[in-house]
Amino acid sequence: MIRLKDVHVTFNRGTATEKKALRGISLTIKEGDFVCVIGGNGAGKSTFLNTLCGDTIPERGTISIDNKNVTSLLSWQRAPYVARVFQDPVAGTCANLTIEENLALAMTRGEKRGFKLALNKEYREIFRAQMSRLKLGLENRLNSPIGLLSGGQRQAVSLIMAVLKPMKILALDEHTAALDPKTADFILKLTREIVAENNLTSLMVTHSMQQALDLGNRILMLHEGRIVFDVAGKKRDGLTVADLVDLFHKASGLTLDDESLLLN
Amino acid sequence: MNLIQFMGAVEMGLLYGLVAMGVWLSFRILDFPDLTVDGSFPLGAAVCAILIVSGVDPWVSTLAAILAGMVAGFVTAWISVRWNILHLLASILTLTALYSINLRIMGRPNIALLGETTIFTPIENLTYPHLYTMSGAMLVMVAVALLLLYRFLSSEKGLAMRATGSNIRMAKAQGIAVNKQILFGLALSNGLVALAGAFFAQSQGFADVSMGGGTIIAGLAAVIVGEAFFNPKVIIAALVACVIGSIFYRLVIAMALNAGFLGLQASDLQLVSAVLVGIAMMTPRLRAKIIDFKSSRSQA
Repeated sequence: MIRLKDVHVTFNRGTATEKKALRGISLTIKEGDFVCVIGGNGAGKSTFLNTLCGDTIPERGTISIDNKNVTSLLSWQRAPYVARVFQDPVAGTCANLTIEENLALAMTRGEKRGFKLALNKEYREIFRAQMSRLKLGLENRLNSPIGLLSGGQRQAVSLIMAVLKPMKILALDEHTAALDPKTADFILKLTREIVAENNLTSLMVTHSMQQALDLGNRILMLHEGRIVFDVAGKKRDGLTVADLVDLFHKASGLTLDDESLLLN
Repeated sequence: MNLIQFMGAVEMGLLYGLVAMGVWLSFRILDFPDLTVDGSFPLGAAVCAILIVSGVDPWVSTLAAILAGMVAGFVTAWISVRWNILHLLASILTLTALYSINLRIMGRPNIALLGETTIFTPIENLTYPHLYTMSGAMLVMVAVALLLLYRFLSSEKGLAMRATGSNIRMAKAQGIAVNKQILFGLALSNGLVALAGAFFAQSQGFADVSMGGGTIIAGLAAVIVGEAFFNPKVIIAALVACVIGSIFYRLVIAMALNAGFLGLQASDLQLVSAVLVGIAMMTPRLRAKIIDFKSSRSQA
């Protein structure tokens, strides 16, 4: 269970460019929840995810994972609990390491690394099996540098890497936004399968309301660093994009002028 | 170039192969351009030489030299990582300080090791020509260092270090303490360079405070020449390329200085080095340009 209590984040504090990115986020994510976070540009979606992952440490408020206070832990210290897929396919993998070396890194995510060989036969078997499910032929290219793969292929590998080890939450940061529509569909389908198979607690940041309706069981909308609405379960079922816009309008008293949220 | 000059160049090439591996580790693996090596090379020589003349076992002295080099690398990394200072500047700070430290360690600008027992003494007593045994011994030691480094880079720890230099954000997301990797990586890199310094002092019979000048260029040259010729794709090939690049670099310099028609003299060494490294660095761009030119012509 992930719990955020009154989390505040401000950038460039005390300067002319001060930006209050998060203004008191409180939230509980239950085990098995799949939360989709939507919101316009500058709503605080990315900051929210970065704060959850430990890239940004909040100035106020607490974050706990399974009742363990992780508020002041940095991203590498949170790695045992948080697995992550970045928006940029290039960001999630090491271009000049091979596919199997990247997977081996993920195999020891958040663990103490020793002097034993990073790769072995048993690992390669696992990697081959995991890669064949993608049906991209990567199981025969475990030795190729991952930089030779396309963005979509790298994102697919990133997803597999994220779930090689158990975690408390899978954080997906607009992980289809940089892909072409066809590849994005493939990655979304894969995400849905993987999350369902392993019954993962997940949090996906997305630009698209439709995507948020298609995936997961809970929708969270951010606006100016606050949660505007949070719908789940029966209340969420059967909603349409128009309903979400309506919800936003009612909750904030504003009209939604960010077209990018309505497209798709 | 005669045989003595040729074997001398091979021996120096092998020795500087250690420097090349150290430089490759910082520049290529950690993406941390580190000039400390210009100071850690004489540091290794100084520590090793002073201990040997004080009667310490040469192997223990060599080990002490490695440790001293590791400390120097660690200091550079610490200045850069802890205080967020540009890597080049951090290494220049350490390098500058090392000049004085090396003088302090030796107590004088140079120490002669003639007549002292060194790790090379046993092979000097062999009946084989010294010319070959020296290069042979150097080859064995460089090969051991290379294989140990390769084994380390293939381990879980080594992979974490490579990830740090390749994609720091991803490394953090995988739970890698990236700062520790840089601290340890630079220590390892400078340990290797100090080892080369210790070997140099023992094989050449002296340590001198000014012997470090141009170490970084020699190391970088070896790395770049090796890459230009072998275009290595895997770690072991990259390591071997460092050593072969280093030998090749020494041979080219020896040839240039010995070719009478060029009219070069020993003092032109640094100029020849810089020109050679410059050419090697331009090679990849030049190659791309030629390919571009060819393909544009074939299209037309």
